[in-house]
Amino acid sequence: MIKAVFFDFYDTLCTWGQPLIVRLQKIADRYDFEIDAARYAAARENLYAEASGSDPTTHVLFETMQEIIESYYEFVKALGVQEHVEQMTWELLQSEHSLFAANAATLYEDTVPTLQHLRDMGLKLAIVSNWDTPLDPLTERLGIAHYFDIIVASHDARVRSAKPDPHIFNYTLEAISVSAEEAIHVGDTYEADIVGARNVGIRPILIDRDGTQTGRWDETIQSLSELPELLSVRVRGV
Amino acid sequence: MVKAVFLDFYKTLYFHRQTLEENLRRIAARYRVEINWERFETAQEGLFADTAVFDPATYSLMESLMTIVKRQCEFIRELGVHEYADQIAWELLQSGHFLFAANSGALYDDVVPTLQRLRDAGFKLAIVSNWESTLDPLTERLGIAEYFDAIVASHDVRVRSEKPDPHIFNYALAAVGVSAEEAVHVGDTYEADIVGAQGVGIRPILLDRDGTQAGRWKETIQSLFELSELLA
Repeated sequence: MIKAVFFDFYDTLCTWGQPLIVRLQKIADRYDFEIDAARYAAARENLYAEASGSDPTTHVLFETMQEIIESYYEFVKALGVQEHVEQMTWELLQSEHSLFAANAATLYEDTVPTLQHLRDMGLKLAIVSNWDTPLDPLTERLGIAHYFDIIVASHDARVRSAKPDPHIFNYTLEAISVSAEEAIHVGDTYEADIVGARNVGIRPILIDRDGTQTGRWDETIQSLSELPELLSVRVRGV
Repeated sequence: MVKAVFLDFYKTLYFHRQTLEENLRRIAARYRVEINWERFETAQEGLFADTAVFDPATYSLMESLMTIVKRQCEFIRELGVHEYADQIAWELLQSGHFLFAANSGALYDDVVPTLQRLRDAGFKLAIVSNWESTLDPLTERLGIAEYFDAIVASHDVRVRSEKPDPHIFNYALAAVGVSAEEAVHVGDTYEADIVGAQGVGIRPILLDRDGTQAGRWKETIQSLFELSELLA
């Protein structure tokens, strides 16, 4: 019998409301700076190449923070900005980065109603996310922290394991005292979420919001609002 | 004729729902760590000890950011926490510090209705604040950035002047295109807001939300709701 539902965070519960270029444009307007399209394309590629996730087993939060600040600083400079580079960098970090305010973070419309519904059904809930900070502050700000029995982030110093590694799933199971057979895991990334959950015996459900992963996995949903029905049928069927 | 209304930010528009102590209690409970509360007062002094780093004339945002991170980590260690100290420090910064998420930041109930009413009445609006970063990201997140013609922060490198210094007021006047006689400034701090505005010829209005400054200044209001009537 299903007692707990695990959720991936990014692109499952939460997304970024505006893309980088939109946020950057808004800041550039405030500083009367004109963005050159070609420079932007090149700088963006470097930004994401350098910011390619640290290893959770050795991750040191404030060192990562410093590296990220530096990579965003270089990004802003590479756009050709000469005046007020530091300040524009900070504004950009505030708008998008999880180590700062991540102002662009937005919940999907089906997130809160689904969490409430599953809670009302008596299920335990958890977040299991590959994320380079603890997720409690951000989920608190988004107003969803109280729905969860535990919020588990890969780079949290208490966890230090990223999906599909089994440890992060086992850590979560233990934290809320359910067995693998009693849990399901919902996520959008095949390797991390589906393969990862299956390897520890948790039933995986793929969420394919934009319909680009058709046929990839037998249990697939397009919206979180399909979850309560899927689970109640299964509960009754067993 | 009054054409523009300047508003202070902290304790005029914005406050923190939870104190440092409340935030720390909540986070420490999550980590199941013991805080040595006897050391709290002393440790807190170290946290707020002022240095030249925060002088607006020479201020560097990133430098101060790293100073604050370092101090916050020291603060946590001083309270007897050693395991996960950095991570707890980061969570605490997220909860209360403006350079991070300032999750506990909130607007007073009278802010949005008043801004809307003043806007509808055709006033230009500006924030004039002593604040150690630009205020655009935070006011955007709070959903009020759109109401203002200018958002002026003392430590913004384009400003570098804090109230009661005349420059920050003159900067705001130029930014919204009004003269001193056409503006009023509303704030809760006598020296910075009242003396500062008066010094450049802007009519100051003291906001005394908790009634502790009675008789301090002739034009005093207790809520921003009184503002539209006062200016009508």
